[in-house]
Amino acid sequence: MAKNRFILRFRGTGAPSAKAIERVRALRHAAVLDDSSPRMLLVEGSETELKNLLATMPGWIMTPERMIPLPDPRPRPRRANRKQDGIVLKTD
Amino acid sequence: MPLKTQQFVLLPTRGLRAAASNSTFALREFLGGVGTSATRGGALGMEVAETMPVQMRVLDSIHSDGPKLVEMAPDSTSALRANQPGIRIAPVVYYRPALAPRFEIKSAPKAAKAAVRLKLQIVSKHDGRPVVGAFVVAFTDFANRLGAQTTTNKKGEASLTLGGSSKKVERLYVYPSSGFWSAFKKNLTLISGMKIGLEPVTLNFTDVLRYFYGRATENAGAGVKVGVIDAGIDTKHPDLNVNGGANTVVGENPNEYGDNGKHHGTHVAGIIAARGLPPTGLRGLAPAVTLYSYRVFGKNQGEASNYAIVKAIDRAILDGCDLINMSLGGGPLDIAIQDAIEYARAQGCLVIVAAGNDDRSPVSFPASDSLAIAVSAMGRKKTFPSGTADAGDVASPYGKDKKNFVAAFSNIGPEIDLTGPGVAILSTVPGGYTPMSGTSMACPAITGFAAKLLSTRADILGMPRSPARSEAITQALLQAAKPLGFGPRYEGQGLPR
Repeated sequence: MAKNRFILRFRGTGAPSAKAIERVRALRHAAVLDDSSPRMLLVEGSETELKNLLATMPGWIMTPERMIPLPDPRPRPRRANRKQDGIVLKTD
Repeated sequence: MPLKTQQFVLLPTRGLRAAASNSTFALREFLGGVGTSATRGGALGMEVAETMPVQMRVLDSIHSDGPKLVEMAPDSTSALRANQPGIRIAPVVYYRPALAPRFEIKSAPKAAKAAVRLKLQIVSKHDGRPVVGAFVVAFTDFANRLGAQTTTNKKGEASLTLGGSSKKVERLYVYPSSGFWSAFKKNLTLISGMKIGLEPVTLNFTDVLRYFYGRATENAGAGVKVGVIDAGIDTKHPDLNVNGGANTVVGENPNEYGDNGKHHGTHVAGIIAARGLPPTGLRGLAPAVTLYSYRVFGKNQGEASNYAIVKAIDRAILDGCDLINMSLGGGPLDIAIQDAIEYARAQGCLVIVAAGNDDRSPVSFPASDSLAIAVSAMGRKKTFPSGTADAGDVASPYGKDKKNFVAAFSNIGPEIDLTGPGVAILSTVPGGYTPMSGTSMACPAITGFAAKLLSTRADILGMPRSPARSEAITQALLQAAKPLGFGPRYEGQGLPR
């Protein structure tokens, strides 16, 4: 079973119920990695299992954890091409 | 009706019905007015220019206070957002079948040559001392981004593997980490042992930020809380006073919100809030703000997770921030970040985001979110020394004043709300000062200006934390902008002054 990290975020008014969070914790193929934010959880687990649970939890949304790069407008060599003209990309 | 129009969906701040959402009374009235105009006389498709802030054609309406399908000039979206800050404007998207890509042969590879290193030395033009930690990039084929890159060692040496001890390069860039201006050379032959000299930075230099905004007074920004969501802020820099914050990277100490080693957040913070004075220090646009650092990039890491960013936005709201600066972005639309920005707006807080540095590509997410303020980068000739890498950022369109230009790296599009100075901006880094370029620098210029403006508006600062408060901040900020003559896709409402 593929295990990935997902953000579960509560969009409803007020704080999410403790019961809802317990239902996430009770999942067989999921682990809560971070619960220090009042409106969301970082969970590693089965996407299908989490989606099925969230379908029964109104006010919650789910999205995969993604990485965003630090912005840098400096131009850089885009590709290493060891076979073209002997040019080799050397990364620092 | 302008000739070049595009279809957009206009939506309430949240959900599909203005009456049931966080939308303000003004926005409810607006959407209701569009619906009434469109359906009056039983005819959709009529033009409603006489009652609307921009010229548009209403093609369909789901409900009187619900989504509207409209046709208008893409350049009009900025003016519409300025008039109705809580509105969401989504371009109509057409989906196509996901066909498998076809592979194409571009060119046959040539035989490899031996990898010989070419050694340059980077030194100070002032006294010849080696420049340590400078990032050196040499392009033999700039169009295809072929070349080599490295960082100088303790002797200021850069070893480049370019296929020979002498090599003709199309472009050479040198970016020092602190204390010097960059260097930029075109069409030169590099020979091993060659020295490249860098100009030291003097802190009383008038860069484009200081050209437009001058020197802020000591109390500019007083009473305004600003959160910088970035790579952390150096808490020991003499020009910076970090009042609090959090590290939201999972697995790291939540109290370690100092610079993560990448210097980006410290530079961004200095543009907003540096308190020094030349010739020994630098001053930002709003030195009296209460500054918070939310570190979302891990120690020495160049990537942040959407989870850390959302958590940082939530934390900034809890800390009572009025403005949030996010000089970051890229990747696909993310509903968690989108929701956090919407939540910030609902709590009376405005999120200002860099448009991205992908050479005129569409505005990146989350700047593209309708509820964020998207900032492009502009520059001005003669506000950086000749021979620096910044010369490569000069590109059309030029403004009414022909010295002003939109930075070549800046992303553009109908989502742009404002432009800010973002080429060769002098600011703080751990242990010193350095110029940097990017929409990352333009964004805090706008945040700093907004803080300075807000500190003079007790009427807005004193409003209850609600969508009406964030909309009042937005309106005050956008109304302060004046076009520089680049056009709305490049500058939105222009440069606030």
